[in-house]
Amino acid sequence: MSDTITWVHDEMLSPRWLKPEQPAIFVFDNEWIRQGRISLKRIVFMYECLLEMPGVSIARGKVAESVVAFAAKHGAERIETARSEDPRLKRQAADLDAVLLDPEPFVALPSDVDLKRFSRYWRKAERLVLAK
Amino acid sequence: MLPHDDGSSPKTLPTEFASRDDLIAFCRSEFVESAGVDNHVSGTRGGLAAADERLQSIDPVAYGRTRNHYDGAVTRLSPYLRHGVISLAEARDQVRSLVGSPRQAEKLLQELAWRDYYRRVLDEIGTEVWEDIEPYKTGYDADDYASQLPEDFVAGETGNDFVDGTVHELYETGYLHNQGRMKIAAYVVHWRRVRWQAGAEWMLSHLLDGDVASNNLSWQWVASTFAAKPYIFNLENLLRWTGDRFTGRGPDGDSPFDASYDQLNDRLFV
Repeated sequence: MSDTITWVHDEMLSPRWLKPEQPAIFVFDNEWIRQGRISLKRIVFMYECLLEMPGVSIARGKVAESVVAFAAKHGAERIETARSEDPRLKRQAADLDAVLLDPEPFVALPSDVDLKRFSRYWRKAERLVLAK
Repeated sequence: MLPHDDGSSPKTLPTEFASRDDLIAFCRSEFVESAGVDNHVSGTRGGLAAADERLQSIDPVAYGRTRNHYDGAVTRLSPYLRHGVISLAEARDQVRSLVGSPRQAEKLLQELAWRDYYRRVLDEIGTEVWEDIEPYKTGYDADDYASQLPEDFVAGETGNDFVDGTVHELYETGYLHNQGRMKIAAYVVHWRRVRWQAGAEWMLSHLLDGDVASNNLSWQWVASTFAAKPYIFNLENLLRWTGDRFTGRGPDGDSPFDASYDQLNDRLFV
C-alpha cells in the first residue's frame, strides 16, 4: 500500500515516470478533448504510449475528480506529477495540490534569462548546450 | 443505481488490446467526438519503442545540412518529445553522443533549444499565449483579420495543390514538415487575412505533436505578433524546399505565390 500515487498527464507518457509499487493513473481529459477538438489520431497516439506503461490505470472524465477518486481508492494522501509549463496542466496540478517532480532540464539557466527573442536566450544557452 | 455515461463521472478504460486494429476500433467508438473532428489514424506509432527507434536513426550532421528540405534528415521526434515519451535532455544526450564535438550537431541542438525556449516563454505568459504578444507588423490591426478559417481551406478545396495537399497531409498523418507549417500559416494569415489564433487552434487539434508553446508561438512568429516582421514565401522558395511534391498552382495554372518578395509585400501588406 503506497501513500503516494502518480498522476500521469499528457507530457509524461513514458514508463520512466513510473515507480515500483506506486499506483499511477492517466485521465483522458474530456474538457480538453472537447475544447481542443482533439482528433482521433492524437487519442490513438497517446493510448499507444500508455499501453507501453505497465501498470498504469487509464480513465476518462474530469481530471481532478478522477485522480482524487483513484488516490482515495489506494488510501494515498500524496499525489505526484511532473511539473509543466502548460497553464492547463499547471492549474490541474494546483487543484490536486500535487507534488511537482522536475525532469532534468535541457539547459540550466537562471530563471530571469531574457526571453524576448530566441537570440537573447541562445546567447546564454549556446555555451552550455554546445559545451564539450 | 445504473451507471450512466454523461461524460462527467470517471470511467475506467482498458489497458490491453489484442492488436492495433482493436485499439483503433475501440478509440473510434469510445472517442466519438474526436473521430468526428477527423477520423484518420496516423501511421506514426506511439510509445517508447517507436520513440527509441527514432532516436537511434538520428543523423545530426545530415540534419544540419538538409533540415529545411521536405526530403531532408528531419528527426520526427516531435510527437515523442511533446508527450514526454523521451525528454529534451535525453534527446540532447543522444544527439551529442553521435558526434565528435557538439558543434557538429549545432543545428539540431539549436532546434531542440527552440522547444526549450518556447516552453520557457509559455511558463511566463501562460494563457496569454493565445493573445497577440505584439501588434502585427503588417500594417493591419488585429481587427482587420477574420476570426474564422475559410471553409474552402478547412475542406482542403482551395484548388491550390500545395495548400490542399498540406491540409490533407495534416489530417491524414498528424504531422507536417516545419517548412509546411510555416508556409501554411503564412498562407492563412497573410494571403487569406485570418487571425493567427484561428489557424493555431486548427493545427493544434490535428498535430500529434501539438504543443501550445511551439505551435502558438510559431504561428505568432509567422503572423509578426512575435517577430520583427511577417513571414512570407514565394513560389521559387516553395519549390526549392518541397521538392517535386507540389506545383504551388491551381488547376488554371495560376499561383498566388508566383511573384517577387517586393511584389508580395506590396500586395499583402500596407
